[in-house]
Amino acid sequence: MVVKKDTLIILHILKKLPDLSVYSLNLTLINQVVMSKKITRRKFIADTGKATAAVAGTVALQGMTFPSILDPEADIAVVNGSDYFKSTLKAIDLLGGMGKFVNEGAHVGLLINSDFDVEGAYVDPDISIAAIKMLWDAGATKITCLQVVKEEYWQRSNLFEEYKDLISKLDQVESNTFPSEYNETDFIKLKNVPAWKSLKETEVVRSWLECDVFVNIPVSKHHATTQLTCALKNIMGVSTRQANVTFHLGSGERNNPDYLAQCIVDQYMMKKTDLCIIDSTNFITDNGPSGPGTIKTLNKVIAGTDVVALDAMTSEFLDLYPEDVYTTVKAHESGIGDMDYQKLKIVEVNV
Amino acid sequence: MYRILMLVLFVVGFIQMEKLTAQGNPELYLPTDEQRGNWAVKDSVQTYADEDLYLYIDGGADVYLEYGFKKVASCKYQNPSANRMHIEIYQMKDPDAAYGIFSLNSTGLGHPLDLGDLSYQYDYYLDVWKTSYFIRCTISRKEAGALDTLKLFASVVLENIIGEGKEPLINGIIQLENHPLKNLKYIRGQIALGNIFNFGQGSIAAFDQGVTARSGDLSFYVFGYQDDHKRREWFASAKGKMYSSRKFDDFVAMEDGFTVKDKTGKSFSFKPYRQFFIVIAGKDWEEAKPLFEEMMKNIDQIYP
Repeated sequence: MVVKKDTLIILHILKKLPDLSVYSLNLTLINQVVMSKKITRRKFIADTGKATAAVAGTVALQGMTFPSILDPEADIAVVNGSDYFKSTLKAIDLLGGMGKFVNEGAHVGLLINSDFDVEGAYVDPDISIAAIKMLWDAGATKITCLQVVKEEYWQRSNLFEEYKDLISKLDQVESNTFPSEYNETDFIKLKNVPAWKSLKETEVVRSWLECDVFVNIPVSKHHATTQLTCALKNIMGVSTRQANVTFHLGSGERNNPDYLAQCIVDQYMMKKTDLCIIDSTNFITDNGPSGPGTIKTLNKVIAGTDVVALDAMTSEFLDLYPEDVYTTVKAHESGIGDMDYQKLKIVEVNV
Repeated sequence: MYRILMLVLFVVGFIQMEKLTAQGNPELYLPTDEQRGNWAVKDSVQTYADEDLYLYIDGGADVYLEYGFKKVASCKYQNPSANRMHIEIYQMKDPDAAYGIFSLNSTGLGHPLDLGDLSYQYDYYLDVWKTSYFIRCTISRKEAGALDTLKLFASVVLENIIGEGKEPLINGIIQLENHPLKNLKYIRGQIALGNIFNFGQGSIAAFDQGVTARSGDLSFYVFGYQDDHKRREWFASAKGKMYSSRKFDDFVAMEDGFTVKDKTGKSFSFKPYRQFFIVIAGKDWEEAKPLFEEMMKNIDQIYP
């Protein structure tokens, strides 16, 4: 049964290959994923069928993206205002609406940076509530919180009572709560992916790889080791604690920021982000990631799909240059996105 | 009379022996059943040693390890009105490390308390430093008397910790006349420095210890190296990185040091002296000179 489930994941990755091609993912990588679960290449081909392999072959030839100028909507939406719920709705509207990202019947994987107690260290719940409202409205049939979002997080919002029915419909990866431990039901091991530069092995939430749409909702804040934690760093939320510890210690030198950043990027390349909504309303600029720290208030909600561009933009809110942030530079080099965010179409409005 | 005296000595000796036995086991410093009154243990006592700290702290373990972390004991309590209290006792490798993490956690807004070697009370928690220990007591609901309870629990923990800590010697370098300090922080590496100011990744590296503080619009940084040779090596590296940094402009090399300006036009003056190098932010080279001299005198006095 496990083999079948993994095969489904591989099939799913193959379906996504047009997007993943920019990450240099190819059949070799898929083979590695398969091999890591001790499935032979022959069995993999037999399971997935020739047609799928043909699709992958075609995709390998594509490797291109279309210029954003053809797209009438914003690449990055920046909305200023103190009503964060409204700002979030507006930001997605500027990108073309949630229907652009979520099809009827879609399974959405949602990653919210919610597990901190101090203001400025977690995503304002009004932003998350706006996101789930739009996701349900767009026709999602299942929304899985890839990391547990506790009830008390939602209760911090004045909108909790109004939207508690939508919140109660959320699915959660219950075992992915700090400090999460590997189990075969909820996690999958990935090993020796050729595109990886530093990472050797990781354990990630299955639903992250299985979901049709991945929505990442971080807060742009200070992090002592990586300087910035935003979209890219947030991906450590889908891996087990043990895997994350290897990001910190695996180089043989404790807290090598270069190695940590590369591990984050290596893991990030396993799944394309379909939508990223960033909380840059109130955030800590020191003592991160947990705080308490100095709070900067910008009242900005930012949305887009290029997580590297978004991280580059938000790093400047912390008085950093994008090139000061190793995760941004390495993700740019790995082709996950473009750190030269000013090339993109940025629309900024007030609500 | 003799028997009573012997009995008293025995009891005192026994208590001291118990305390000595407890040293190195922070979980043994937690309040006992009798000392807790109506506060019941909510979850069992948790302890984490060395790199297992990553399993306890979600983001931020790095900096404790950088300072030198040994073990933490953590316990949550609950009273009949469902208020919760959390006590964490961090055992660090030495008193400087414990002072360092205490100072790094200080927001500058705390109310000083007469507990341990240094302590501050904040809105809903208090931090205490005593010898090699950093203790944090947090209350979840600020009901009447809650902070007094926190103080009481902290006192119980502190009674078990023998000894007295002294602030790191390097702190004395930035004690200047007419410049009262605030937000003084003792640091032991890049991660702690990154919590205070970002000079750019790797710009100021490999220092063994440092101290930083603010005084009005000025900021002081002193970085200490193992020896003068190491300092020369890393000062040259910092100079090169500052010269090419996009974060700073207007690099000017001085006879013994250099200056740069950040994007707001604020001057940063860098000067090496013996195994240290000093950075003064907020004054240009000429204005910074008397402060450099005062700090150099302090270095000579503290490290003869």
